[in-house]
Amino acid sequence: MALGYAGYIKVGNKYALGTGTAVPRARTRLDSNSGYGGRVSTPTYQIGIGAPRTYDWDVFDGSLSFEYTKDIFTLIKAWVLARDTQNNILIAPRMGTSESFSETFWNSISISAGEGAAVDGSIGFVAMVRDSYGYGLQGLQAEYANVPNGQGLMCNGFPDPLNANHLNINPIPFWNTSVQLGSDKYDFLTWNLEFSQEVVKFFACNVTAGPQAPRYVGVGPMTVTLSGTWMWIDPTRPSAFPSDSIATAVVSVADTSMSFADLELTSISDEVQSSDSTTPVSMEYAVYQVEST
Amino acid sequence: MVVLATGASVNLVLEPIYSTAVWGAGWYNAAEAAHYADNALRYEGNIDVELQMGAAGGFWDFMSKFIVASRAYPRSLEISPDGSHVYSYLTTGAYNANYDTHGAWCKSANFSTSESSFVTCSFGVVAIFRTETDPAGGQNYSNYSYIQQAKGVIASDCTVLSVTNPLNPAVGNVDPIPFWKTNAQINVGTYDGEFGTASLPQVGLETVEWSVDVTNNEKILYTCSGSRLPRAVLMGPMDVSGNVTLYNPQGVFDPITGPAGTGTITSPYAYAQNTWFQVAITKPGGGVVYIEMPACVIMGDEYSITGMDNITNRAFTLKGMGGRCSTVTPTTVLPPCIISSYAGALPAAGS
Repeated sequence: MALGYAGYIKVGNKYALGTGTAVPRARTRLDSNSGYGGRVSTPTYQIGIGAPRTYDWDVFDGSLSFEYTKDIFTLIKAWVLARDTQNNILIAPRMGTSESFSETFWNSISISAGEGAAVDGSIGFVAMVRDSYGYGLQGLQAEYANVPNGQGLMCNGFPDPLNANHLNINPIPFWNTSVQLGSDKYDFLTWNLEFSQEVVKFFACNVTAGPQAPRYVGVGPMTVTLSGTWMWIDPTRPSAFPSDSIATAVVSVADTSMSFADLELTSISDEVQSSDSTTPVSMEYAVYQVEST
Repeated sequence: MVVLATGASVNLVLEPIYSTAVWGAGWYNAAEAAHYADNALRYEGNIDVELQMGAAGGFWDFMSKFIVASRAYPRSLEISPDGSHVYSYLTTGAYNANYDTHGAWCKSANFSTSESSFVTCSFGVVAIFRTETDPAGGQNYSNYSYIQQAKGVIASDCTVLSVTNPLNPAVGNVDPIPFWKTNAQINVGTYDGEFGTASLPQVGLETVEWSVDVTNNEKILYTCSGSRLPRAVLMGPMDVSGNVTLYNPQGVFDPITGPAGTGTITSPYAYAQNTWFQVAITKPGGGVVYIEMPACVIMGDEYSITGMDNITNRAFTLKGMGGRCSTVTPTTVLPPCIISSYAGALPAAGS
């Protein structure tokens, strides 16, 4: 095991520009509430520590953080619309180690843009089962000696580096995005799209041997919010202050976009700022319709 | 191998761990710290050299491996600040034989040159162990007193000194290497492979001065192991940057619009995929060695009024980028800085 640069993330069949993961294997303990008759002190092996217990199905709820590429943005757009479908996720924190999840359902997705940075975001997901977990047994010496060139992904499917053909899509910079509310494009300094939905596992009492895998999975209602800060630079663009209800909105990221309808304002603030700050208006809209275009 | 060092300051770093606990002091005896414990220790500093190739290219080969190609591995290092004491940072076996915490690692390397100078390199080094000895092993330090050292330590042995190639043999001008011997060019176009053919952006372009800085961002792995000594020294992601100052009688090209004025901010002339920086130095007797950023992005551009009696050069600040695929099978990704072997080829990683 060495340093973080040997790791990578793959979502579906696309490599992501991963910046971090958090996917713990959580053992759900089922504690008994019954009395246990333990002793206060001696003999020490009879001191009451804990109660009768057993363990349920392992939980793999986690999240991935990454900078958006065009491919990942396209994948996310499709996954939001097909929100009851699963995807494959592969996480490799180091050489020789990887864990794969083949039945993962997203429960949160975020996309954020702001001055001076790449568009970044995260996926929160619920995985039914971890298909594989291979922990590399090679020590530091073997890894350094045997794999000086790393995982060898860059020339084999990883997003093109070096800003290839100057497309600015791997990663996508903040300026290569735009937000349109109604028919007007607004000058947003920052914007953030949040999707969330409950992923519920249904367990059945139909097998007697060992903790059971979830029988069914369901996804609950989805909530979507679009928030951000914008400056009114040109009084003709937009032509009016944003209204409480907006019929349509389009968030463009590079040459791909996500369209929404039926937006309702949930909060807006126009505050005094410090002397050397810009004076944007902050707003948040609840989105009630996600379009397929 | 003896090198042409102009400075070496590799010193013990102690950094004790001070307790911040209170202990009932009064205004008269209140001290910021009263309790402390030893921290893990290391030796760290810089070695400044005039860049040379050395006998049979020995120093150049060492340098190319120490900085990049085999940066994960320590090398043996000896420094004698006064000709009597020798501080040794030695590996426990042959180079590459043992990956342990003995020897010295390259933290960084800063190459630079300019008019009327040699190419210089400042190596940042770090080590965990060192020993202090007298040069001949077992003799008293008094044997190396001022009076005793009429002929010095190194220069008293011509076989040792000869590896530094004194007296500019055959007028090779590579021990050390003067500024004019380097052919440093920023290139824009289709990359021709590592150490390949240059693709100059403009006719008449001259390089006035240049620098290349490699930072290895080493990580010393300290663990709760019951010992003051770290468990490993790891090499982090490489940070490579550089500067190149250019002159052209017709004016130096703009990195956005390019020499023909055809580029725009949305379609600039130079970007990382089509830009690289190469320093080529011809060896005595023929052949070339290289220091190269196989892909770089121009992250700074200074073209200023410089005063009445100064030449109006244009200075670019460069960021070396990873991600350029090698043209040599297997097509692995190149590091952001590559240094050729004395033979002019890409050294194998870990060689």
